Amino acid sequence: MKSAILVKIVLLALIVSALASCSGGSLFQPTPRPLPPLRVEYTFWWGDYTLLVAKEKGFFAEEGVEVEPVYYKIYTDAFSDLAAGQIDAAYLAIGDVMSINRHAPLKVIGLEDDGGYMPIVAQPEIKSISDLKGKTVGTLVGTQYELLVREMLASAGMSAADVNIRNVNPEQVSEALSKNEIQAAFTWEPSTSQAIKEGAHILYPTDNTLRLFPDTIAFRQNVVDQRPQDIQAYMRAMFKAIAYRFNHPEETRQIAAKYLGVPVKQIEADPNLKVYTYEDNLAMYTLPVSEANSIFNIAQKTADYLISSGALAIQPNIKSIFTPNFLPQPK
Amino acid sequence: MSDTYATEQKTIKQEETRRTRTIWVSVIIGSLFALISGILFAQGADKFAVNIWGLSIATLLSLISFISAWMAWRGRATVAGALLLTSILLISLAIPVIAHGQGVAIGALVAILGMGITAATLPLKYSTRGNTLSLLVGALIIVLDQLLPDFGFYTEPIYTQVFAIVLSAIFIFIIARQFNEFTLRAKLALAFATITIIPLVILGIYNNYVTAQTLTQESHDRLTSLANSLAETFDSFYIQQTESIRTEARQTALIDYLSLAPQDRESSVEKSKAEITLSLFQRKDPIFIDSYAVLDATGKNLLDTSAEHIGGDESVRIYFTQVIKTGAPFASNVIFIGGKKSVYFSAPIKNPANQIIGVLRVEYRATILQSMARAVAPNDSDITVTLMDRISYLRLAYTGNRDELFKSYKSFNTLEVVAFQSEGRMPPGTPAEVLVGTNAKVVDGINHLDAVPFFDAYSDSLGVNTVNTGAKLKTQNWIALVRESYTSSAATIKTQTRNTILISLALAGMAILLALGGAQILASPLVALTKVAEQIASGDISARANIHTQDEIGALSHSFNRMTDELNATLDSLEGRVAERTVDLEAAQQQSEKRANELEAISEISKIVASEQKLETLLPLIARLVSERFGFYHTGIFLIEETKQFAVLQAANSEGGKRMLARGHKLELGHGIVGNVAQSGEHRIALDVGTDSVYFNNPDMPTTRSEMALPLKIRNQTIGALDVQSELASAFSESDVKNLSILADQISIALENTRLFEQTQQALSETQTLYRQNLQKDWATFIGEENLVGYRQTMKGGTKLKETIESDEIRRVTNSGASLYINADANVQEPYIVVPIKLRGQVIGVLNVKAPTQDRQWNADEINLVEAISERLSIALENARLIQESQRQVVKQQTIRDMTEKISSSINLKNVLQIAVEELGRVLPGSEVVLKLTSTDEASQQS
Repeated sequence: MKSAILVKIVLLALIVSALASCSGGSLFQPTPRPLPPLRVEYTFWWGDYTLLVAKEKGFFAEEGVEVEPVYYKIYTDAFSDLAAGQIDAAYLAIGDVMSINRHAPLKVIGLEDDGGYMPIVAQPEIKSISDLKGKTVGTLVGTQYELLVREMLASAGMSAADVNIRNVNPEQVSEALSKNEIQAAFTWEPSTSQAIKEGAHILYPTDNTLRLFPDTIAFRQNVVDQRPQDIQAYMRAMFKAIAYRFNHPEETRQIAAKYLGVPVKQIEADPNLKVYTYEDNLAMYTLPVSEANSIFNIAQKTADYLISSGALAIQPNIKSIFTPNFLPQPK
Repeated sequence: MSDTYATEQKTIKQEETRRTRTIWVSVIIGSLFALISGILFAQGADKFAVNIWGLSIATLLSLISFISAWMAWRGRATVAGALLLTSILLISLAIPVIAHGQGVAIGALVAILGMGITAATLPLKYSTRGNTLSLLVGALIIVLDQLLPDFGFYTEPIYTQVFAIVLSAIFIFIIARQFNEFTLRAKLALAFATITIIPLVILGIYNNYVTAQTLTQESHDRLTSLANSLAETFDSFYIQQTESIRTEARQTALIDYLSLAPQDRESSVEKSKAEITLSLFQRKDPIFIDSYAVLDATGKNLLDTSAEHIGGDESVRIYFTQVIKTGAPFASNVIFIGGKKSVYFSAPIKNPANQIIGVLRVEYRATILQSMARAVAPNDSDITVTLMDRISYLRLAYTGNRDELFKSYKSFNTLEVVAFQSEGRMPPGTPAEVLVGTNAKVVDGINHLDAVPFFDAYSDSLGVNTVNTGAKLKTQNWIALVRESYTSSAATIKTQTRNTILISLALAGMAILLALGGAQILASPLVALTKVAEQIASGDISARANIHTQDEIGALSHSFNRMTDELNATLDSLEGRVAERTVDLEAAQQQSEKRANELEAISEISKIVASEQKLETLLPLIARLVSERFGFYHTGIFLIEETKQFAVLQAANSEGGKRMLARGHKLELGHGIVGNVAQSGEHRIALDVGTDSVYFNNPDMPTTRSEMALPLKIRNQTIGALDVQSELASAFSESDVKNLSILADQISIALENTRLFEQTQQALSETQTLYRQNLQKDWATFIGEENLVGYRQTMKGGTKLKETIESDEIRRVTNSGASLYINADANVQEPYIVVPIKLRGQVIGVLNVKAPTQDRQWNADEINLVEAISERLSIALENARLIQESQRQVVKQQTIRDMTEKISSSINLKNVLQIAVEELGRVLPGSEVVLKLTSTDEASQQS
C-alpha cells in the first residue's frame, strides 16, 4: 500500500517533469541569437521598388521575415559587399551574379524584371557606330555589359581594338559624356533618360524590345542554406508587393521617393521595363533550356560570353545557381 | 506499567527533539534561500532577466521553509517536514527546465537536502519513502538537465557547487548523527552504496577531467589551426597580390607609355595600349578591384580604370611614397579615404635602365578581406573570425555582427581616434561611431597573446562566453583572431560529461539497487531472527527461526532455536508443576473450606449446646446437630456408667440408634470401636468397617461403611464417647478427627457444665429450704420472746392481741400465702380482706381488714393498697426484728469484750482463770461455771 503511494508520487513527479519539459520546449526554448534582418540591395531602379513596397506595406512582416533594404547609389558598389557578406542579397543581372559567384556562392531564387531597355548612348557628334573609331566607349569592364559594346562594334564591322573601352558606371554615364571623358557608353534607366535629356542619343540598339540583361534576385548561398524559410517568406512577400505595385503605381512612386529621399516627380515609371510576375517567373524557370526566354538559356549565353571574354575562368554551375525552389508553390 | 510509561516518555522526548530539529532545519533552509533571494535581488536590474526565475524560486522556497518552521513550532512537525520536503523536491524539478549547467550540483544538492530533511524532520517510518523520493528527484534533475535541450539561461555552476558541497556536508553530518537510528538494512545499504558510489564518483570525475582536458586540447588545436590557416590566407593573398602587381608593373605597354615624354602621352597609341592593359588587369576581379592606375614618378594619376581619379595627385599616398623610397612593391594596410575603405598594392614601373618611371597601383575594396574571412568561417554561428589591426584594434574583417566591421575593439580616446583617422587608419566618424563593440578583454588578450595563447572573452555578437586565440600575419601588423563560443567548444566535452554523468548515474542507480538487494539478503535473516525473538518475547514460544544458511547467522539461528526449545521444555515442566500445585492448592483450599465449615459447625453446635442446661435434652440435641451439620447418618453419644464397666448409649439421631437407645444399648468397655475408645481415651477410626479388625456387626446400623469414635473427656478422665458413622467408605480422616475432637471436647465441657449446673441448682434449692426454715424459726422465737400476738384496730381504738386469732380465712391465707378478699353478698355477714405478710416467701403474719358494713364492695385500689401496705409492713417488721437482733448482738459482743479485757488485764494465770469464771457466771446468772485445764496425755488421746 505504502509502496503504491510512493510509486504514485514518483509517477506524478515524472508526469510533471515531462509536462514541464514539453511546455518548456516551447516556453523556455532559448531563442537562438536573433538572426539579423536580411539586408537587400536596391538602387535607383524602377524594378527594385518592389522591395520598398514590400517593406513599406508590411508584406515582409506579414510573412514573418525581417528585411532591411540597403541603398546603393552605384549598382556595382553592392557587388563587393555582397561578396563580403555585408549584405545578404542584391538585384543583379545574370552576368553579375556569375562574377560575384566567384567570391561568394550565390543563389538566384527569382527574377525581378527584364532589365528594361539598356542601350548605348552617344554624344550628338557620334552619328553612327563607325564614328566611334578611336573614341572612348564607357561600360562596365569585364562584365556582361561589355558584350553589348562588342555586339555594337561587330555590327559595324569593328572590334574592341578600334575603340578605347573604359570602365564607367552606368549611373555616371551622362556626367562622363558631358565631360567628354567618353563619347559613348552603355547605360540604363534612369541614366539613359538623363543622358538623352542632356543631348545624348541612343546609338545602339535602336530596337527597344531587345532584352539582354534580366534582373534576378540573388542571395548569398550560405544565407539561403541557413534561412530557407526566411527566403521563402521573402519571395512570398515580393510577389505580394508586385501584385500591389501593379495596382498602385502612384503609391509605388511615393514609397520609392520616400526611401530614396527625392521628390516624387523624380521617380518615373520605366515604360520599357517589365516587372516579372509570379507567373513570369514560373514560365522562365520552367521553359525548356533551348527556349531563348528560358532563364537557363540566358544564363548559359552570358556564361559563355564571360568565359570567352576572360571574365570567368570556369563554367559556373548554372543549374545550381538558379533555383526555383523558393518560388511559392503554384496553386 | 512502568515500562509503558518509560516508553511513552521516550517517545515524547523523541517527538520533541524532532520538532526542534524540524524548526531548526526549516529556519536554516529558509534563511539560506532568503540569502540567495537577497543576493539575486541585489544583483538587480542588469541581470534581472537571468535572475528572475532564481529569485522567484528562492523566495518561494524561503517562504515555504518559514511556513514549515512555523507549523513545526505549532507542533505539527511531521506535516511541516513533509511540506518542506515535497515542496523542495517538486520545485527543484523546475530548475533543469529554466536553467541548465547546474544539473549535477542541483541534483546532488536536492537529493542530499531531501535525505537530510527526511532524517531530521520525518518519523522513522517515513524515512524510506523520503530517501527514495529524494534520490529519485535528484537523479531526475540530473537526467533532465543532461537530456533536455538547453533551456533558459546557462549559469556558471561554480557557486552552486560550493553551495552544494557546504550544504551536503551539513546534511551528511545530520544523516551521520541519525545513523544509529537506522535499521540494519538501511545501514548496510548505505554502507554498500557509499563504498560503491564514492569510487564511481571519483573515477567519473577523474575520467571526465582527463577527457575534458583532451577535448579542450583538441578544441584549442582546432582553433589554433583555424587561426593559422586564416592568417595564412590573408598572408598569401597579400603575397600573391604583391607578386602580381610586381609582375604587372613590368608590362611593356605601361613602360612604353611612361617612357613617352609627358606631352606625347595624350592620344598616343601607347596610352591606348596602356589603358587596355589596365582594363585587362581589372578584369581579374571586377568585383573587388576598384581601380587600376598608373602614376607617374611625381605621383600624378595618368591612367586609371576609374576615370574620376585621372589627373589626381597621389604623391603623398603611402603606396606611392613607399615604392619610390624602396623601389620595391608595396602592400598597404586598409586605408580609409573619403568614405572608401581600400587596400592598395603598388609596384614601381621601371624603364630598362632600371629607373622608376612610375608606379602601378591597384585599389582593392577592403571588403575583399571580409569576403576571405567569410570564406573561412561562413556565417558559422559558433566560430567568429576577426582580422584585426594590432594598432587600431580595428576589425578589418569580421564574421560577427556586420555593423561592427571596421569598428575598433579598443576604447580609444577622441584624440587617438582623430589621429588614426588623419592617418587613414580608421574610418571617418565620431568616436562613438568608430568605437563600436569594444571589448577590453579582447584587447588585453590580444596584447598578451604570446604569453597566453588562449583567453576568454564575452562576445556580444554571439551572446556567449568565448574562447579566443589568434595568429599573427607575416605581411601586415594584423592578427587573425578566432573565437569560439564555449557552448560550441565545450559541446564535445559536454557530451562526454553528459555520458559520464548518465553512465555514472545509471551505475549509481544499479549500485543502490544492488546495495539494497545485498543489504536485504544480509539483513533479512537477522530481521527474521529479530521478528522471531519479538514473537517469543511477546509470548509465542512456538516461533522458530527458519534460517538454513551455513554461516554465523545460520549458527546463531540454530543456537537460537535450541535455546527456544530449552526454554519451551523448561516452561512445559514448569507448567506441569504449576498444574500440580494448583490441584494441591485447590485440594488444600477445599480442605480448608471444609475445615472452616466444620469449625463453623463446631462453633455453632458449641454455642447451642452451651445454652442448654439439661442433660436429657442436651445429648439428643448434640446427636442431632452433629449429624445434621457434618452430614453423618448416625451420631451416638455414649456415657460410661458409674461402675466403669459399660458405656451406655445416651442419645442417637438415626432410626437404628433410637432403637438401640430404647433397648438401653450399652457396650462393654474394651469391646468394639466405642468400647475401646471409652476405655483407652483415644479416638478410633474404622474406614471400612467391613474389613476392620474391630468391626462390630450391628444389626441396627447395617449400612455403616465408616465409623469414628472420639473420647469425651473431662480433666483427662474419659466420661464417654462420641460415635459417628457414615454410609460412605473412608469417610473419615485425621483432619475430621481433629475437628470432631474439638467438638467432642466442647460436648464434654457442655456435659460437665450441665452436670455442675444441676448440682448447683440442687444446692441452691436445699439452701433456700434451710433459710425459710430458719426464718420461720427466728420469727417464732422472736414472737415468743417479744410475746407478740398481733394488734387490732377498730373504730373504738387499737388494742394488743392477747391471743392468737384463729379463723378459716387466716388459716387459708397463712397456708396458701395468697391474699383473700370477700365482698358482700347474701351469705356473707361481713366482707373482709386477708393479706399475708410475707418475708422472703414465708408468711410471718396476716393483715385482716373487715368492713364495717355488710354491703361493702372492695375495689382493686383498696386491695392493692392493702397488699402494698402488707409488703412494706413485712420489710419494716423484718428490719425491726433485725435491729433488735443486732442490738442484742452488740450487747453480747460488748459483754465478751469486757470479759476479755478483764481476763487480759491480769497476767496471773490463776487470776485469769478466776476472772474468766466469775465473768461467765455474771453474764450467765444462775449458771455453774467450771473451767478445767486438760493434761498433755488427754490432748494426745483426743488427736
